[in-house]
Parts: sequence; structure tokens; C-alpha cells
Amino acid sequence: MLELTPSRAAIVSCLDEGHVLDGMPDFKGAFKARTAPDELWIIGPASAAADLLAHAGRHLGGASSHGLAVDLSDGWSVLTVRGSEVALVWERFSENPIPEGRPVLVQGAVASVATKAIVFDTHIHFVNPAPLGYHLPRRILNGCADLAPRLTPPTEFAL
Amino acid sequence: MPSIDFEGRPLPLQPGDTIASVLQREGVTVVSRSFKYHRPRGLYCGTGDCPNCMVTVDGEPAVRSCITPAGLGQKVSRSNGWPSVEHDALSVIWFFRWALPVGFYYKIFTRPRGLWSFVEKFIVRVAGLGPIDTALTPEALERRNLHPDLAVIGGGVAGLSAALFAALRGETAVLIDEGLIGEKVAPGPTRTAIDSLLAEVRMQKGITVIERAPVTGIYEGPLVTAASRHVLHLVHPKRIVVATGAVEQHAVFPGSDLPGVWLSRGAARMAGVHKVKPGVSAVVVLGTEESLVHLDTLRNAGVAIRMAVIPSALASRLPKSVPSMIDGEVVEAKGRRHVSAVVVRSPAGVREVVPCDTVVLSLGFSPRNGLLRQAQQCIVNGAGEVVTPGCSLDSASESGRVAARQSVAIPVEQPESHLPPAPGKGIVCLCEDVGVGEVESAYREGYTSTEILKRYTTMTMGPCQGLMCQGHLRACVRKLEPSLTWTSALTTARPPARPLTLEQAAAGYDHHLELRTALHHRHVAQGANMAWAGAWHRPGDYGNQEKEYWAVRRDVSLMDVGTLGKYRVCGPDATEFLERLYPVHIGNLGQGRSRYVLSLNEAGYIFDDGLVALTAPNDYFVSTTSSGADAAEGWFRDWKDTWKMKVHIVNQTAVLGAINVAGPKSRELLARLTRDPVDREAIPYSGIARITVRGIPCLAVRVGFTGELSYELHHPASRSVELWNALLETGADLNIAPHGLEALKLLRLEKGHIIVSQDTDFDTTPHKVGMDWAVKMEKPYFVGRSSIVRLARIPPAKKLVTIRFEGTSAPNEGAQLMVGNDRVGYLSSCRYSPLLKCGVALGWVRLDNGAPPPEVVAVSDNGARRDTGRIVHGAFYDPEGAKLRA
Repeated sequence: MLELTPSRAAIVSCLDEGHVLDGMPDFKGAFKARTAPDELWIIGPASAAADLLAHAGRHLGGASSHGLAVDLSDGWSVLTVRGSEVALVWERFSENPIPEGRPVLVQGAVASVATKAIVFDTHIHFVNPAPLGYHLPRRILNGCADLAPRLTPPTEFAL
Repeated sequence: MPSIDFEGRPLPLQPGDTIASVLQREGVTVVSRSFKYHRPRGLYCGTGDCPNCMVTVDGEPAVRSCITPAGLGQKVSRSNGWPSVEHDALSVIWFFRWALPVGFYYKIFTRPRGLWSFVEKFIVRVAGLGPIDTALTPEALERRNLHPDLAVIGGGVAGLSAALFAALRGETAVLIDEGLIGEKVAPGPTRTAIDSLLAEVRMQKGITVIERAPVTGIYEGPLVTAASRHVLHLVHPKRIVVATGAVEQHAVFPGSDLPGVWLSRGAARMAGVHKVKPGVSAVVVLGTEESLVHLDTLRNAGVAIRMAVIPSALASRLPKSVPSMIDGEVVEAKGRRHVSAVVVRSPAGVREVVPCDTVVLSLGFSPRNGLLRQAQQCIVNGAGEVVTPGCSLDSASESGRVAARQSVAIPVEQPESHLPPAPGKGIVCLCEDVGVGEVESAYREGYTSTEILKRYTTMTMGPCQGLMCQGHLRACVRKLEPSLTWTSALTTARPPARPLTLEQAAAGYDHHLELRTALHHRHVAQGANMAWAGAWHRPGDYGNQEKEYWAVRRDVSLMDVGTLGKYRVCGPDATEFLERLYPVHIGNLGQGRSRYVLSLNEAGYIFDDGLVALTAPNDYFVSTTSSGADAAEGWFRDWKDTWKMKVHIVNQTAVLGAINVAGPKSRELLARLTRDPVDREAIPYSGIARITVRGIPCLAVRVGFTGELSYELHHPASRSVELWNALLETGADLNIAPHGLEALKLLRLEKGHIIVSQDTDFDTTPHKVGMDWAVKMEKPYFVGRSSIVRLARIPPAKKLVTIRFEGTSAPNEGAQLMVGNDRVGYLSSCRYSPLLKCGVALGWVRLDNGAPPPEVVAVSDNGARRDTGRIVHGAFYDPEGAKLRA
């Protein structure tokens, strides 16, 4: 059984020096990870977007003279895949091994699309550029038809 | 009774049957016709290595019947024969082979000119492995990625031992075999050993066994590709063991390719596994240890042995009841469509004709090492017969374990002592029908090494990939040129090592990726005809291009321009960064103002264009073309890193939607939806302002690509539909209508605006397109400046000009431009203008003494259409820009 759920997520990009980004405090219910030498992402529920942005802004404002926190939520599409066969989904669509040290954010092509994936033991949040957001659900529904995938209504992002 | 459909005839199935075993049981001896000469071919190797057993199965040609399981209702037919494979009139080609030497397509049918194109059609029809059924819909296959510690290719004793060794020391292994493990091996000690090891392997959790998946290649990474019927396996191991074994040496003598000639392992498998006799009476050549086991298998199956040709070293182990010739050899197989007798020669040179219908040959082994030789840069090691052909079971097992623990690749040596004796006569290459004489003839023509003989004769390039012919080719060259060893070297092995279908190669790519804006579904619901624009799928039109055009010119219209590249560039060095990047002044740009920018590369050539707007101190909104949106990010970041500047680059292309509200009534429409001022003073031409439209925050940018009063509204993409609907509903009484790309292309053309990449080329400078005004040479530096200075010293040879065509329609885009009989250029853009009632165009023309010709003739429709056009200067529509500055 495989469950595919579009997740409503807030995505805040924090841009600054690496050491400033590394000091970013946790935000309850959100996941943070470095995506580039000068960038850190914080992903949480869409309803917390303003709080996340303020949280990131406070840290950058206090630690740096030119840090920037921006809300990129509209530019990305999040699909959460849950189920006992979630590793098999990964195996079919990613050429990278399923990452160790979960939960972890990894970047690379999934089903031919540039993807940031937050991989847990039991589920994976696939984050795709919004213009290609339609693609992954369709590919999983077709390519994993033998795993009985089910598309469920959108819900709020949850770790 | 379960059966397959063989050319309209039901042939009964037995459990465990391959297609080949069904055909053999039912007496089908001519299984195929050869590629070039249409010689009859029958089952030969029985291990999936030679091309002889290829048939068409359910519309798929070139299926190896000896390793393909027979299935209920399968439609099987033979290919490459006319009127039938059984009675093939085209086999007469064999008697004209003197006229079709190797490389004949380079030598004959070349005069008179045009003969080849006629002959080629005939050759394509009569040669080959069978037509592809184009009516079949390819299956959308998927990929599967695996990441074991060890990949083992080949499920024989060595391969099974390697996988088991890895698993027992806690590693993960993927074991791949092209059939069911052990199925090709006749009952005997080898099969017993395989069955025992396989039972152990099945109990190991760390071993994933993939069967019926031929490995087609080993690539850098390393990456091993294995193509099963429904899945393409991509295995990404740390180390690889190749244990693909050896194939029995192909025999080359006159008639050696006739049906009835078998390699020993194939014959033994047919008799021992499928319980089908390969023939009634046989002459056997027993050149290896295991061939003695095969002899027992054949005798137990009831095959009458007319003679055993055996080396003296093995002679004592031959049963006394079997007639034999010691140290003799088979020199010819006689028969027209099947073996009827063989000629054997004793060591004393005495020839004897032995009547029989079958010849079973065991002459030695050739390593099946194509995969091993492909993998030069990876940790790949061979095990078992692939490195030591004919090795014992114990030695195979040990070599599997040794290979499994290697952390470096051990080079494989291919001593020439393994080469077969140079053949005298016969077909060397079964796949491409190349005989010994043809190799020698090609050698005399100057193709004196294996690598170039391979290219000239196509030997080793067919379905067997050299498994049958490589050794003989090398032996031929060695005989012809004994002094230079490099000329007889192994040829380079490349993927695919085993045949795969195009649908297997395309696994995982059954889709077209199209970028969609947030308004995609709204456009589709509105009846838009979607069109490709770069990687985007955008409305080409909404069903009435002229109506859309007039909505912009007379009333008000909307266009989804969410595809534009949209960036926020900010930080302490942002102004200096953009100043260096673009050829216009950025430092003097006032807050709330924007400026058109060309993007130049270091060579001074245009590769994109867009807009830079100052939204706050050191905080810019930068737009690019839709097709240049992604590349722009790399360009920005590259220069930022090069200059080590404190700049943040935020790609907002997908974050922001954008709708262009264009037309003389656009201001009136906006004013109905916002309390913010949108008049000429508040947002002048090229001005920007943050306004709220029906509660949606927007950055309004006054631009004029259409030539009319226009506001680009950049807004959160999640609210695009809401904004689009509000604008359409509120503008209903203003005759609002959305417009697509087709209308836009005409609107901008009337203004003489270029589309970068449609109207520009890879070497287009601003000067060539008349845009010197967009380059401020007084600036001390910008990307491409030094090149522009250098290029300014060279008079341009061509120029982009605006051209007007009188008449009621416009010439085709791309039409050639002529002056007299001289071709002087082409049209890059052209449309008919309903407003101006003439054709309007942009075209590249050659300059004569620095000036374009005053008049050109556009030739299109293969010369059937000729339109005379006049070069004009400036925009066709509103040249003063009064409308867009309204």
C-alpha cells in the first residue's frame, strides 16, 4: 500500500555565510537542511509560513549584516509518499542509493526532475519545482501501479 | 493442448520448453536465413550466443529462441526469406557472392548517380533480421536502481560462489543472469554444483537474484544495465564480478553453418534438459573434457553416434562401442538445406564421408568476455571460464570467491595461445555472413588489423558481438601478418553486449516533461491550444488569433507571462554586480524605475534579454526571457563567484506568477481593481510600483512588448488563478480577451521587437540588430565589452532589418531572401498585419558596401511563392511610442 499526498508546505530559503546558517535554531514541526554553501532551507506546515519567515529573519538579522530570508513556498510542490514500499519507489525513480542517516535532505534527479527529498524511514517528502509538480504523482501512479498507489487529498505538511 | 502459433500452425508445448525446443521437437530445422546470403540456418549454440535461432515473436524481431521461454499462444515466425524461410528464392544470392564482396556498398552501385538510392531500397528489404511491426505500441517500461556492494554477472558456479562469498561476509550482492540460473546447463556435475550453490544463495537475504535479464553493458560509475522484459535494472555496485563463462568455439569449415551442425553444449542441453534429440545420427567431435559427458547425454537420448572424432589424449575414455577417428578433423559438412553427411580427415590425410544428419562439435572455448573488456575504469574482475575457459568446477568456485573480495581490478590477459587455428574456408561471421576469403580479400585491400577489418567487414558487430568470430578473425590476421602482434589484437568491446529493444533502452522515459504555469489548467479550461515555447507549455491561442490581436490593439487583453525568468538580486554588492553584468547603466537607475537589458556573453554576442528594476536600495527585480530563465541563474551565480561579491540571487521564476494586462483600456481595468494609483504619473512607462489588485499584492511593471499601454503584474503564483479570474470578470464590458503566443508574435513584430533566439543567432551582436542604444560603451567594463570593441573594427557582413510586404498575406517565416539570382538572407519572423494590411517581417540580409539592399524577394513554398518586400526603417506600428507611453 502506497499513499501519495500533496503536502501544503512553507519553504523558507535563508541566504548567508555558512557559519551563520549552521547556527539557525530549530523550529518546532519544521525541518531544516543546508541546500547550498550559502543557503539553508526550512520546511514546515504552510500555516506556519509567517512564523517561519520571522524566525529565520530574527536569526539572520542578529547574526549577520546582509543575511536574507525569503518565502519560496509558491515555487515548489511537495508530494509525501508513505507506505511500506516507499524504498521501492525510491529505487525505481532515483539513481542515488536511499540515503543513510535518516531523516535527511538529499538533492538529485527523481523521475528525471530536479528534486529535493526529505527521506524518513517510513515516508519521503519529494519537493519539486512547481511547474513540474504534476509530474511525480503521475509517474508514481503509473510506474508503481503494482504497489497499489493511492492519491489522497492535500494535507498540511507534517514531519 | 497448450501450443504456440508457429506461422499459423499450432505447435504443442511441454513444460520448461524454449521456443527453440518446440521447433526442434516438431522438426523445424531451418530456423532462420542468414543476413546477407540467405543461407539456411538452424539451431547451433543453444546458449543465446549465436544469431542462428533468431525469430520474430509477437511482432518483435530478432528474439533468440534458444533462451526464450515458449508461452501459450505466442505468435512465432521466421524472418528474412522470400517467399518463405523454408523455400527462400533469395538464397540464389549465394551464387552471386562474387558480385557482392565485403564493402560492396562502397564500390559498386555508385554510378550512375542515384543508382544507390534505388538499390538501397531493395537491399534493405532483403537483408536483415526481420521488420519491426510499427503498428505495435511500445510498452512503457520502468527502471529499477539497485546499490549493492557487489554485482555478479552470470549465475554459473563462479558467479554463485562470488555472490555467496560476499553475502557470508555481510555484504549485499546482486546476482544477474540472462536466463533462469542453471537452465542452459545439461544434467551433469556442473548442473549439480549449480543447483546446490543456488539453494544456498536463495537462503541469503543479502543477495538479490535477477533472472532473465541480459546484462547489456558496464559503464562508468560503475553502472551495470540489465534488461529484463518489463524492467531495465540499473545496478550501481561498488565492485563487479563478471562470471559470464565461455562459449564453445565456433567451427569454420565449408558447410559449418548448415542446419544440423551443433555446438556441443547446445546439443546436450536440447537432449538432456528438453528431452529432444538434436538429430537421429551424429558425428561428434570431442575436443574437451565435458564433451564426454555430452556424448553420454546424446546417447542416452537415443542419438546414434556414427563417428566420434577425438584427440588421442581423451581416446581412452571413449566407450568401446562408439566408432572413432583419433586425432582426425571434420573438414566439410555436406547438404543443401541440412547436413546429410560430413567429410572427416584422418591424421594421415585420408578423407572419409560419413552419412549423418547431425554434427556435434566441441572444439574448445572462447571466453564470453565482452563485458569484462568494456569496464576499463571500474573495479571489475572476471571469475571462472571467462578468464580460464574450460576450468574445473573447483577452480571456478575458487576464482569466484577470489574475485568477490578484490578491491582493485586485475587486468585480464588474452594470450594468443587461446586462438583457434586459422580457418581455411567457410563462414567466419555468422551474423554478417563474412567468409574466410572475404577477410583475406579485405586484408589485401589494406585493412590489415582487426580494428579496421571490424569496421570494413562489420565482423564482431552483429548480434553475437564477436563471440563466434572474434577468435577466428584474430587467427586470420595473425596468419596473414605473423610479425606484428598488435594487428591481431582483440577489438574494443562496447555496449550493448546483448541485444536490447528500443523500448528497453527508453525505460523510464515514457513521458514528456513540460513546464506549466500556475494558470495551466485555467488555460486548458478556457479552450487554449497549448503550444511548446522552449520547455514551457503555453497557450498558442484561444481559438481566434485575430480577435486576440484586436483585443490588445483596441481594448484590453491578458497574457500569462509567468514563464518569464524572475530573479531577486540583492545585497551590498548588488548594484556593482549588475553594473558589471549588463551593458547599460545600472547605478543611475532610480528606485521605482526599470531598464531594458541585453545579456551578452564574453564574446559580445546576445544570448538573452530582459529587464532590471530597482525595488529598494541594492535590491533589484530582474527578469529574463522564458527560455533563458534557468540558464540565467547559472550565469548570475558564475559571475557572482568569479567576482566574489556579496550578492544574493533568488530565483523567483516559479514563486511569482505574472500576467500582462495590455491594451488601451488596461489602465481603466486596473483602476477598477485597485485603490493604488495606476495613472501615468504614479506608474510611468518603464516605471514599477507595488500595488494591491483585488487584495493580491503585485509588483506592477510598465512595459511595452506589444506596443500598447501594458502592466505586467508579478504576484504570488498561488494566487494566479484568482487574479486572472478577477481581471477577466471585471473587464468583461471592456471586451477583454486573453491572447496567446501567436497574437503576441504579431504584436511585437509590428513594433519591430526581436525575440532572442528566433531573430538572433549565436554570433549576433547588438550592432547587427540595430540595438547599439542598449550598449553604453562609455562604461569602463561590462561582460562582453572588450569583444564589442574588437568587433567594432570589423565591418558587419549582415544585418537584421524590418521588411514590408504588400499584398493580402505574408510570406512564410524562414523564406529565402533574394536579390536577382543572388541569395542575400532569410526571414526570421514574418506575419500578416490586419491593422497595416501588409506583411511585416524581420529578416537577415547581407550588406553591400555597408548597406542593405532596398528591396528583396522572399522565396518560399519551394519557389512557388515570391513576394517583393521593401526594407523600411523603424517600427511598423506607433514608431514614436506614443501609445505605450500613454
